[in-house]
Amino acid sequence: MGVRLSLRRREQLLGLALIAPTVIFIGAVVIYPVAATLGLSFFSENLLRPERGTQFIGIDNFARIFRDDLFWMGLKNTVVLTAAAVIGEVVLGMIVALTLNAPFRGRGVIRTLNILPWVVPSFVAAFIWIWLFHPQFGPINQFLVWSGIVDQGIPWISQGSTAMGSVIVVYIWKGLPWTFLVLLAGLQSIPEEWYEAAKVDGASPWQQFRYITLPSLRYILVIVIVLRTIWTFNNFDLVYLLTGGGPARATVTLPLNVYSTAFLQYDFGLSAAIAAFMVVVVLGLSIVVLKLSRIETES
Amino acid sequence: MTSKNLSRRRLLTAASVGAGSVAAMAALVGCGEVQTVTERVVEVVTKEVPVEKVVTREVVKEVAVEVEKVVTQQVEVAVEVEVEKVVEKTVVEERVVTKVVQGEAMQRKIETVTFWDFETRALGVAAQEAWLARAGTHAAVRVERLRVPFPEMEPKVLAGKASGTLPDMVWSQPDSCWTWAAAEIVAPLDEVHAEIGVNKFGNNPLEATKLDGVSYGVPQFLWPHIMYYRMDKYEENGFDEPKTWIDLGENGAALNSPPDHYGFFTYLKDAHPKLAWNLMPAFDAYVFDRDGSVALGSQGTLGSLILAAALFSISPPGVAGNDEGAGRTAFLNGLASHMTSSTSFSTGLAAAPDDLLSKVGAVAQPSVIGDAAGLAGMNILNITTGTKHPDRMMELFVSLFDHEIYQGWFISTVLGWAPTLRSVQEGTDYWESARVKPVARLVRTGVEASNKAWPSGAKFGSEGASLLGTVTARNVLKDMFTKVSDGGAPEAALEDATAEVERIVADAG
Repeated sequence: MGVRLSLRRREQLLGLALIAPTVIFIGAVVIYPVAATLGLSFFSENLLRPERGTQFIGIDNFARIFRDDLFWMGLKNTVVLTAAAVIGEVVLGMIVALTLNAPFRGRGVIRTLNILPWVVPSFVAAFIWIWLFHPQFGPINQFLVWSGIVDQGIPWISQGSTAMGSVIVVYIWKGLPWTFLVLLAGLQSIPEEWYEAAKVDGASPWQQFRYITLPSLRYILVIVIVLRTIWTFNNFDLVYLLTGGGPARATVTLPLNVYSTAFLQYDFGLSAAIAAFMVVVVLGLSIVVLKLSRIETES
Repeated sequence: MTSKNLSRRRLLTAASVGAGSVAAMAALVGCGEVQTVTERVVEVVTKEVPVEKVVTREVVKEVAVEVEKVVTQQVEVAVEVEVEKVVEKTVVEERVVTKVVQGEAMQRKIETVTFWDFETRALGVAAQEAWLARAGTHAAVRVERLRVPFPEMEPKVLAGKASGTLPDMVWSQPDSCWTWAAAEIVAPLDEVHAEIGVNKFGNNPLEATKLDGVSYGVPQFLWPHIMYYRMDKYEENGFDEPKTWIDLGENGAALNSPPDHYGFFTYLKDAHPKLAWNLMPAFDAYVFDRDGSVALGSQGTLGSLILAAALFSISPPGVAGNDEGAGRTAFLNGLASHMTSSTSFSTGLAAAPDDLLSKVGAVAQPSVIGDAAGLAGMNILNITTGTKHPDRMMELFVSLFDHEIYQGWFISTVLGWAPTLRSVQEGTDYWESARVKPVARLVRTGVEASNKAWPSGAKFGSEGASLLGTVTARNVLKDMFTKVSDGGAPEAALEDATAEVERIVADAG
């Protein structure tokens, strides 16, 4: 004899059945790995010391990373790189978006070309810039030597004083198209009448930008800044390919730290602790985004 | 003891154990009722297999009869003179030698063993497979080769240990050999060396396979770092062959003319700090002592940093961004007069246009303190602790390092590798072979260098071996030299590096 369920109960079960695949999928590919990594950060797990096995060590891994110069160097560089790259991308992205929002002949072509750095894979971008920066054969140095500005090429990405600056330039170059596109989309959503009314009232271009454009783009700017901050903070491939964190740690970042600790030192527990720290930072930024979007929706 | 002897002995042992078991079974089951006992009989199979082509030279003696006419006082006398004439005739022929293979190898079941290998070059792969197959015939094994890219080998091996899926054999290099030995990934091979013959290898290459006095691998081939220099520029300037670091430094400085030409090409970008491993041994400087204590902060290390600073000043800018490959390209293009590189650079030099090979000289790197100098690049074959065929692996290794089999492989493999077997080093067949002869002087320099080269910046000892991986992964040595290349004081760079190594030791407990 079958069990008779109420309509409401059946609807509840159907709903659960429909969302179950998504929940299982997210649980398997998102929640489990993150939880496992966070859990691992409280254990010692070093493949080079198999005799020690896996032991619960509480917060020892965190204590170790906080007294490690390499961690602090990585954190400092990550913050510097992220801040400089995001500021550069947003400022330049705004300038480019404003320029390409104005009507002129060939605008479509230039808009398309502007997207190129975004579509180029990171490893290609890295090799292009390694070549551009090359001390002997790179066009930048060849021009500088040819024009007599320097006697011999500058090793842009392989000397401590210029490496971080050069890496920031590449990050801005790579991230600019996305920032520009999003801002351009925002600019196109601002009604033209507002500018016409402002002109009639005698507003200067700066005043139009200050009092119409910026306030209208406020929400988009926040999203752009927060997302670019999260992406740059987490980015591994570009800096790894460009400098590998060198010279002498001048460009080492937290993602590089996580990688080298896990896959070169094989200390997975310690690596998980650095990753957990990053998760907390990125989670904090994500909460900021969610809060801001809620405020915007309510307003 | 040869592989055949070994195989025969093993087979006899196995046969006696088998016969004993059958007898014991018969005795047990024979109590009371009649039982059928099946006895396994190993049949001797004789098989004819064509194995090789042989080119022979023959000397044929020919007897000719000539008639000479001698005129004496207008009288013609015919004299027959018998002249023995030796005609040297070179006959080149191909012939199929039929070799009768019989005995233990043919009687045994072929076992499949696995090998994780990071060789990628087509020639190297083909030669290696042929070598393994030939030796495998003697040991009754088929070697199944799995190619593992070099950067992935270490994590794969460590993961294999953790998951119990290690192959039967792997390739390593000295530093990874020690690390894996300390982690009980590779097995001690003193018994294999006893079978092969301990005197078959040079002392230094053999030492490089040892951890705490026990060998964990067999030296497979060498690629020692030697000092290449432009002989043509030396001749133009009347310089003698360099013998000391003072010679090299002075000659490099004299030839330095930036930005078109530099005295040296130094590089620091490679994953392994080759510059450190080239210079530190020359000053008898190492990261750890045998007991695992930190030995980095020595006067020797400081000396190597001061020498490095001098070399950086006559090198192209961007030392930290250059790797060995960039150095070779620069050297081939005439950008620098000196560079250290492995003997495998011979391949590039042999293929270079304008007969560059004849313009390049090579010497073993000089020592400053002690007898050691230069990086002893070497590949090692290891048997893992996860092997399921320890006896067969032992036989395979003995066969691989049999003179004929090894030399046959070496003549056909990648040009520029140097042999580890003394009998090949000291013989003439390898050096006189057509491919090797043009670069023989460079590879011979590598063999000479291997007698004093050191595998890396650590002395041996299980503690040091375990920690050296962390020191390398954290780029401690590379950063130490990079700081000097960036204008930093050698003393400060050494102090920072020593402090970090001490922290690594403290963290490791």
